[in-house]
Amino acid sequence: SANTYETKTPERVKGPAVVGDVIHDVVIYANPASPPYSLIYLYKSLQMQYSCRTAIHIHSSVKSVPDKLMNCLGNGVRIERPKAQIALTLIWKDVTHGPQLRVSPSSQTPINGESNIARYLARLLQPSYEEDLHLACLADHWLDLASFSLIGGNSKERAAAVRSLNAHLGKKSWLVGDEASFVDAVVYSALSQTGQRSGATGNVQNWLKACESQDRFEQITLFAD
Amino acid sequence: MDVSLSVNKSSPPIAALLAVEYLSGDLKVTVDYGKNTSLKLSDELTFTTPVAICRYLARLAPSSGLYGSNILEATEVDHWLEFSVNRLGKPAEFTVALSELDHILGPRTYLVAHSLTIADFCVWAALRVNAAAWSGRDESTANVRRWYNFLEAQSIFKKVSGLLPKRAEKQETTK
Repeated sequence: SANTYETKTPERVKGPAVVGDVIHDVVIYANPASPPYSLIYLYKSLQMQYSCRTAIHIHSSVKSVPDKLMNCLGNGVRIERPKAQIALTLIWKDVTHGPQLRVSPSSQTPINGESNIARYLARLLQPSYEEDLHLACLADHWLDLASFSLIGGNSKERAAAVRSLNAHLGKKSWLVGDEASFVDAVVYSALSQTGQRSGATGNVQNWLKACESQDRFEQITLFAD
Repeated sequence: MDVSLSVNKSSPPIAALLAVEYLSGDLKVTVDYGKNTSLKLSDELTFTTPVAICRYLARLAPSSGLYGSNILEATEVDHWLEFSVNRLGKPAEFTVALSELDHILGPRTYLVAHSLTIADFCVWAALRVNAAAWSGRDESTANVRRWYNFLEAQSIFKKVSGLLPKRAEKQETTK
């Protein structure tokens, strides 16, 4: 069940991205008006491989944030900082152009967009989502559909994107491969944020329900209501 | 590995053609000029956008560095691919996006790290198709113009520019 992620002491897995005791600091700014729900899914995936600590703050540009958003990342995991491999900080802020990721502020440009943040976190996972070329391209196809068509597109492009989802989900249970992945979570999130989750029909609706029955979606559904 | 890319002759995927040229030593890509842009990966997936084609070609040749050299650089590349579509590709966003780009290019030679990536290809292409909207501007786009012209002077950019239909002229025969 989902509880196993919360209660067991995470094993330390040495991956190529986060090695040993080096703390990997990940800071994400997100607007509470359009929460990046896929973050929860990816955080749970990271927790299975790394010892993680989380912190959630509110920036002064935001007046108040509902409790469910303040509690969304495992209700704040209280691992002492020196014991954490990944320190994930979520700051609710009035950002535009989607959520923003900062890992190494002195050398990088800020990274915008939920799909891109998801790519980064999925690259921290072992194996990385890019391990297999074909699966990586499939994943990016849906991640681009979420960011370009569902979030960034006009109503025509959104409708076309939903039709394309519906056609794929008529043949397959999940967007990439044979099981649920972070890609499902990103597209789920894009549909939620653009108000298309409740009105979904057909294969898309069945897929949304299937997503919601997954452990790693458990908190997303609470968060998204 | 042989790759076959079909290209829409009247609206060519500039960034994808730049990647093809850049990787010509690593990959054998056959380019056919026709009605639609597409690159078929499998029965399940055919790429139709320059962004998707660029990602694929860059992944086929990881040692080229076109997708950055670590996971953070790769994600910075992804950021710029999205920026080229969702910001520079939208008339309502273009001016604000251009000024953000100018600010970020201030201390930089390339968009990501210290060498060419598909981020440079996609953003350069988005600026090229919108040249009328920004090239006449003054100091506020000085960094963008410096970067744009620096790339334009490189051989692969010259070569791809030569393949493109001339604006406001009759289409050239490209093949």
